[in-house]
Amino acid sequence: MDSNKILLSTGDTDELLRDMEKPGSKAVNRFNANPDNAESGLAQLVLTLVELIRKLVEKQAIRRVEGGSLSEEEIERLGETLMKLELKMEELKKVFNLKDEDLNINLGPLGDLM
Amino acid sequence: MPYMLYAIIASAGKEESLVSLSAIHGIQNTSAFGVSHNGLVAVLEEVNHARVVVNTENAIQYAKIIEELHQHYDLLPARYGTVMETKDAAVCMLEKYRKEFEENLQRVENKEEFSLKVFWDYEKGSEEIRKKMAHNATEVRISPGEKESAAYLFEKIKAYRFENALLEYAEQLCEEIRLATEVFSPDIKFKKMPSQSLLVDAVFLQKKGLKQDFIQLVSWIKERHEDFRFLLTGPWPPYNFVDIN
Repeated sequence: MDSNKILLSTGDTDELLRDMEKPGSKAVNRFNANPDNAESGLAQLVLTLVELIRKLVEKQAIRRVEGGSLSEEEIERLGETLMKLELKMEELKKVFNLKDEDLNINLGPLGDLM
Repeated sequence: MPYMLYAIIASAGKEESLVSLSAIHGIQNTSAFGVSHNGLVAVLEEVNHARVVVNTENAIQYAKIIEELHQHYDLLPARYGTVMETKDAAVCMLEKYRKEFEENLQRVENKEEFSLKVFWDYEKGSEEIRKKMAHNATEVRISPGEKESAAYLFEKIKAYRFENALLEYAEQLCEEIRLATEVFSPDIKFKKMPSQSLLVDAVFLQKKGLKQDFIQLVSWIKERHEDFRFLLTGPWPPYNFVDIN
């Protein structure tokens, strides 16, 4: 960065800039398909969408638990369902040799998908 | 021959100064020029398509050109790599998005962008938040009992609460920044916790000429939060304040 642009900085500016570039918990991969990896590229895309929906469902379910609108029995069933969904996703990731960070697509100016 | 798009500017009342665009050289070292349509101008450079490479060096060069343009004009910066196949295509674009361009140009008129990044020690900060959470915790209705699924859900709820607490913590700082900068009434956009080390990433669209006042204000906020590290940069062209869908 042009040093003229730095108006105020606490600490070592280089260190701050490095921290800025350091990836957080979110991945910054792009979906990358080409003729040689069309199958795995497609699997990555599909599993990314499945993971997104799974996480949305999970979050909504937890909101409902926190909201107190579910019975004990419903909560128990919900916990079991969410756990099984996550286990199934783990299996699928292994089958297609994908890591957690592979299931997050960078959408450029919109940020990361998850 | 294709044309690299740098920015959209308003031409009204600036017809004479538009001639000076030719003094600005683009990333392929040829003169920039403007294509006008109904009071709007697309700033272009004739480029060799094969040489439009997406790399850091070119992106920085591109940003410098936009910076140079911004010293003379209120503008809407384009994204690096935006190429028009013909001049007519540029005119069509100006016509198609005329309303959006005009509205956005009005928003950025005589303004510049500043960026404030607030870093924190994630480990230390999150530990403090966890302690506070433990102190104020409301009962989680699931207890980690014998059933694996109950324990699973219990952990999920804890993680969910922690995530919310982090965002709330970042929101408190955003609110403080919002109140402190109210006197300049800037447009502000916040990103809360975009990464573990970055607590708040804020951008401000501010009237030109208030740089020193802005620095003082951020210094004041900084003094109230000695544990955080601050990085204030600018002025920038209004990269984060162009909203065109």
